[in-house]
Amino acid sequence: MRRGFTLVESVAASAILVLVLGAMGLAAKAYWNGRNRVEARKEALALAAAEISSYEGREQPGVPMTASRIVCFLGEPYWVRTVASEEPSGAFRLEVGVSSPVAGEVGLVRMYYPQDGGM
Amino acid sequence: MVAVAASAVVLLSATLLLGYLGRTLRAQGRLEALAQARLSQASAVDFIRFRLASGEIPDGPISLETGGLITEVTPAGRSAVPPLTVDLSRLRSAQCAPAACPGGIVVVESIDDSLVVSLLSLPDLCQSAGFPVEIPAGGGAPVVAGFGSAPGGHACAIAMDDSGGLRVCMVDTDGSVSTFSLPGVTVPVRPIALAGMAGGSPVMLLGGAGSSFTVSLDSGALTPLDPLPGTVPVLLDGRVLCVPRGDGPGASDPGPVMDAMSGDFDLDGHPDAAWACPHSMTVWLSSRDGVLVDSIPGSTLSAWGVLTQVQGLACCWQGADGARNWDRLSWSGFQTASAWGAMLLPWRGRVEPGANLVLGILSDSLSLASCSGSPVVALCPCISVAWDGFDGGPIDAACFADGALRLVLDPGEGGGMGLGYSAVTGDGHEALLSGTYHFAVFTEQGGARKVRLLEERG
Repeated sequence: MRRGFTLVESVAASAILVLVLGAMGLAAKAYWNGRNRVEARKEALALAAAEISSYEGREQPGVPMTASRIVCFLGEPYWVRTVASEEPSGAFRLEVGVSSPVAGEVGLVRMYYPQDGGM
Repeated sequence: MVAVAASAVVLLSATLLLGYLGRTLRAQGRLEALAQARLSQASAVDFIRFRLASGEIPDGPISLETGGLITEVTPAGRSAVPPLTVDLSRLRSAQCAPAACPGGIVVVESIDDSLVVSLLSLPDLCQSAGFPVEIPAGGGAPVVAGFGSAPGGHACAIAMDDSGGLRVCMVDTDGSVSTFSLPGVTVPVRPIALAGMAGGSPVMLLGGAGSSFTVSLDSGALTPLDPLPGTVPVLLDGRVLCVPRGDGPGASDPGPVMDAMSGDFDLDGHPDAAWACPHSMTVWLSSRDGVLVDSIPGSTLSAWGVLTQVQGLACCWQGADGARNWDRLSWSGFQTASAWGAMLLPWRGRVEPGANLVLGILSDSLSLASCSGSPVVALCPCISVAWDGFDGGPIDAACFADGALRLVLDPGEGGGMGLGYSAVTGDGHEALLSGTYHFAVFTEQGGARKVRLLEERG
């Protein structure tokens, strides 16, 4: 009749448990970081899209400019950079980049062409 | 064994968790790519529109890279389109008055106890900044006049009877309103309203049976014109003139002025004016400071205007027996003209010339006919029409019919071309976004004139 685990079995089981718990912890941490990153990138994308809409709604959208500002959203700082520049062809390039430590960089680019046909 | 089984379960959970995370990250990546794809495709459509406006018609595939994504645009068919018609049927046409002003069309609607003034840019009908403007309505029907292309940033002037007096409002293109009250004054009967600059100041001219006067829209000062019977006040070339209507003080009432036109009718480089009444057609020639009148006893004026630049101003008289005869303006006055081509069509009201085209109302439709009289193209239902350069270019038509208002832009330029394009935006591996776009291109001699995105399907 067996009355318990041997020392070797207990040590092996503990080792397996430690390894599994370690892996689980790492996986949970990766999930948590990934989830935060996705949420932050969603916010960054929304900020970039709003920045482009706001630029298009201006009275004089075709004006070269460079702007940079920090926007705090749900305790997370986002750095919003807008660069509007005229291309040699006469087209207008609008580039918006939004970045944060968690989200990384999210960028959107839009080109505008004169609607009167003249460049 | 139990430990191994538990570990397997935990590892499976971790794998599933990380797999879910991976899918979420990929979905987010796709969302970002899609957002950029929309912008890239919009940029490509912008580019096609630019090429069309430049006078080119892209007839092969075009590839455009924006934000790391490539949009392939390919032509997808051509068709003919009639002149651009803008449907304003959402406005209650019975209560709205369109007027041309710098930057678009002013529409004044009577809604409940207010007048709502909209300044719609053309052809996109976007409300301009500062509009709509709400003005308290007066007791009587408002009389509206647009400033047209006059300088000064003024949109329109509105006059209305209001508690024992006259209220005149000037609405500027930035949405600001100046209001003047003139006690003891009323809107003339059968009013003709004009707004413009006279002596460097904005004025509103109100003429009609009984009284005619101007109101300075700087100071609110009223200046009576006291026109002699049978005269018409006009605002022309920065001056207010009181011009004989041609029928003289002793003549019987020729009826209301049905239409007033200005233009260089004698081709001397100076603007002239013309009026159409039911029984007389009058032209005031600035070079002579005199009028030329045409009338045929027993006949009614049925159509008038410039059919072609060569023929000049002409008018069509309809006798009791239905016979129609055209007279045209010559250096010595109106003379009988032999009718041919488009003159043989039963036009009603004012006709306007186009590029080898004649425009006007035929059988309750705004119609377009070639100078030879055919083909005739019906553009839209039209019982009455207001002609003006609403979009700042060649003459446009505001058509009223069936309780709706429709604007036909630059009909004198004729029809246009419908061009379809399909666009596919991708990252080089897979297509992220596809759409079809239909443009209307109205071309005049020398290149494309106007491009409008008619339809967009993503």
